[in-house]
Amino acid sequence: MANAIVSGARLCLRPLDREDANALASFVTAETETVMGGRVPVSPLAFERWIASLDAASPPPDISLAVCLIDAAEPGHLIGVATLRNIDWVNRTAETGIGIYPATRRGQGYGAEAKHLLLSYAFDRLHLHAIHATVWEPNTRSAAAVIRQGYRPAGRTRWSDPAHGTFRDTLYFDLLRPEWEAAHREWMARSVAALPDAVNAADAKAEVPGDPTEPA
Amino acid sequence: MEASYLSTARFVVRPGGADDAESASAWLPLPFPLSRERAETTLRDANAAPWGHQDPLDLLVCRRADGVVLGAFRLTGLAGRVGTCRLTIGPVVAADEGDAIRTDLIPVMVRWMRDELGLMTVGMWLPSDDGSGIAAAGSTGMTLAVRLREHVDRPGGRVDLLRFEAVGKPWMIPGGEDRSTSEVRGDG
Repeated sequence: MANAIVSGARLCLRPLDREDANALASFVTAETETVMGGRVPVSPLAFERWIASLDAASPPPDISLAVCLIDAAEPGHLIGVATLRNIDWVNRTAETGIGIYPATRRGQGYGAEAKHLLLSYAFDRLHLHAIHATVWEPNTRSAAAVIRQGYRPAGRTRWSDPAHGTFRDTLYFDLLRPEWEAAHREWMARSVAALPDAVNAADAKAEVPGDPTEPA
Repeated sequence: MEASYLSTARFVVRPGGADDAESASAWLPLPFPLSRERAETTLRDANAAPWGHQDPLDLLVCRRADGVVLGAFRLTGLAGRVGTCRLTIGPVVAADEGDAIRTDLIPVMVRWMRDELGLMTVGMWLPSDDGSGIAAAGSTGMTLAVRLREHVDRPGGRVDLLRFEAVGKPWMIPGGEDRSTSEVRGDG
């Protein structure tokens, strides 16, 4: 896959390009779910400007990568954005975020695979030491997902955003490298078990465990 | 140019000016070097919006006796419901003077944000080995809200990063049954 930074079984992460602005604006403007907070239409011009700003500083305070399919049917198709925010290059920490679009792509394991690719990049390539994530309290699906990915609950900040006439909290989760490694092994085992028998048989014959996050 | 309501007998809190470029190492919240020219640009960019609309808002901390810049507060979210206060202390400030800054000014800053600006919550991130900062936060009624493990690197090992929060009064929005549109417009 062209310009991939990290690649897995079904997805790769690559730098965002100006040509991605239209797709991102379409995704955000056509959003069908409200659990991430209130929806706001966004122009492609705003995404063009944002993408142009991503590599303006070196080292960058944030790294946002395109999440793309690598399967034969839709090679290179953009389905999301994976982000390391507020990277602290001195203390070697960052905040993670994943968005999968459109909503019909969610619930198929793409978010989990994209997160594992992002964490692999964060820990193995950037050599970060600790990661954290924030989830708005009503977004229970994301909270469950980060727990499955190995994150531990770290606390909550009060009354961060309103929902249905009340203010809801933001939940914090953190993740250290050994915890990610354990969660990553578990996720790989589940991913391999979920592969069709023919693929598992081929893997066994080759005596190489099928690692969905090895570079293609 | 002193914000008297944020200052104490020992320390003055004030906005930055172009002359403060020469003390960038004291107020920059990063350990990297900054030339005087870049520092002046940074100050101009950080003070671009008049009438209290600047976000983040950087305020310098100076020693009252001689005006030397010792550090800075970076305040975010002042126009919203949730504000965050971050204190940077210059790398050559003596430890006891740093402790005095925390003891004097953290309570002043947090109470101002919560009580005068009316923020619903005021947060402050502090390393878990910052005893004087944690004590000062506790004196304002702040409580521990988040503990991010091993998020701060020290020469002797890693420590946690803690977020303390002070909770103000929840905002209320008048409902339609309480205030009619004409009352709100003042033409009823």
